[in-house]
Amino acid sequence: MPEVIEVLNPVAVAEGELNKFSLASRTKSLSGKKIGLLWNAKRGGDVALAKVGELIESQFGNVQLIRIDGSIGCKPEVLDFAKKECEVAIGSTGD
Amino acid sequence: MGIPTVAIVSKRFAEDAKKSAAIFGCSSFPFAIVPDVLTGIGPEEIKSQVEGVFDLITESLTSRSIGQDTDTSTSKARVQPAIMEKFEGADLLESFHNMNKIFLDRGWGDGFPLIPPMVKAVDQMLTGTSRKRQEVVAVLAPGNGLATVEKIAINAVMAGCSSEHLPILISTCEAIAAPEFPLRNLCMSTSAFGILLVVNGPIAKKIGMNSGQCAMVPGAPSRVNVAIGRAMRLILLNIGHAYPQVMDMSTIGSPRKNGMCIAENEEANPWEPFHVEKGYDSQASTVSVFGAGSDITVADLYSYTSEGVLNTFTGRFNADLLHFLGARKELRLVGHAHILMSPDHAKILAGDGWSKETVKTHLFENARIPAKRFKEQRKHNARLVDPEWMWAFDAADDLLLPVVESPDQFDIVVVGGEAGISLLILDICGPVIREIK
Repeated sequence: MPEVIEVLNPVAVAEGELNKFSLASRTKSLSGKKIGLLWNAKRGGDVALAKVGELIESQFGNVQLIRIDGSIGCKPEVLDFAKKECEVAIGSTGD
Repeated sequence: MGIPTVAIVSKRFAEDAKKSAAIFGCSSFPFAIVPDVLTGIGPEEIKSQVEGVFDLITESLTSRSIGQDTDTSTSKARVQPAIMEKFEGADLLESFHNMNKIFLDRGWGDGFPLIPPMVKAVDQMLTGTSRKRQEVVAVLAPGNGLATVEKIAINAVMAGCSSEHLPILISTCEAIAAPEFPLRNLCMSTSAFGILLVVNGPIAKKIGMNSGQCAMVPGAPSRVNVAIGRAMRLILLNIGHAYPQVMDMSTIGSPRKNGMCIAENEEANPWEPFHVEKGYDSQASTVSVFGAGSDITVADLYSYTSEGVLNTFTGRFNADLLHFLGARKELRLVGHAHILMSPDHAKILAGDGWSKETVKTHLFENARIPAKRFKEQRKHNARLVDPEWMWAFDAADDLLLPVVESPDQFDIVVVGGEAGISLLILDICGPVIREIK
């Protein structure tokens, strides 16, 4: 006769599992757009974003690149700035 | 964010990034995954790897198919009671081993055997508080897990705690969830931060905490400290979702992460206890949480004067703290030095008339490092230096800079047994204190 132990699950539900949201609608083209380059301040991420900006400019020409220096655990006002000033955003963590 | 967004992330951190997106409710967030961690490669290699994912970046911002499969359904009940899990074996011992194996396979443990959180044990644990079983005490980063009293109690059972430890764990959850405590950074960093709990007030003695020799660990004299510290580790895992290699990305790791819990040695403390210094009544019981990024032994068994002891402390501060000196305010990383001072050192200092405040001021004025070190360390990330501190790059190499920006960034807790051995813990934030009720 097998012995059974019954235990309670220790894992908490995450807020994100209860409050899901959809992605913003994608844009048709990057041409003419204000593009945010959001860096979290880790080494290398800024280099990656600078290269992305260079490639976008060479491919789409008439874009406006907006460099945004954030932090690890980005402050809401930085994200609010990106949302207000940019039409699309590209982030890089360095990791 | 409300606008089309994509993020560049390395293959090694891709799972971490996807999990992070999911916990913020956006599991279909697009990533452009590059082969290497960018902090570990040079600029030319970074540019090359970015070129490799450039088409994916533009597609992620423009493709109509992105995000179409997003499930936005939400659960009506915010919190559900913990579900039951059954484990079978030929006998109870085998059942116990099966439970432990499966829990560890799922990442739910710290590597040591876990006490089975059976209903009877959890119910017994819950007698330690009058708070409701499904009350959400806090939301814990990095996974934004809902810390209900029940989930805290389950993890406390697994760690070997008893019901009288539960109020400390509840208050600790409240403390680490405070906005001023960078729990997300501490848990997810490639550095190896632990979280140190310091208990003050009558509860420490009442529940048998060790504030003397070997207070931090190891062994039987510190069994209560060990159990509480371990419970917090399990809570960070199973409630905060700070699972190693998923959201805890520490490069090497550290035993500090297994749990650090002490009581202040108030009897041997010649000054006011830490919680009284912070404005609490001496008869209040409190828990203070500190980040713990590294620790340095301060050994001085030979000085009989405050001058000698202070010289020893002053010499122990190194350039680690300079990493945060003058950091841009929005980084919210403030270097702190938590001094776990042995009673012998404290006694010598107090005996010569030093208060905690004057000790902190002395350390601020004397623990200094040449500007050359600042320049060498910060030249690669000058963008992270606050404009107010940019002058330091033009300073003379031998100009002495403080290791922190204010005497308030030193904290002193008296702990341990006899002998002149103290411990210096370096951190990226100040302590947060909560009353234990």
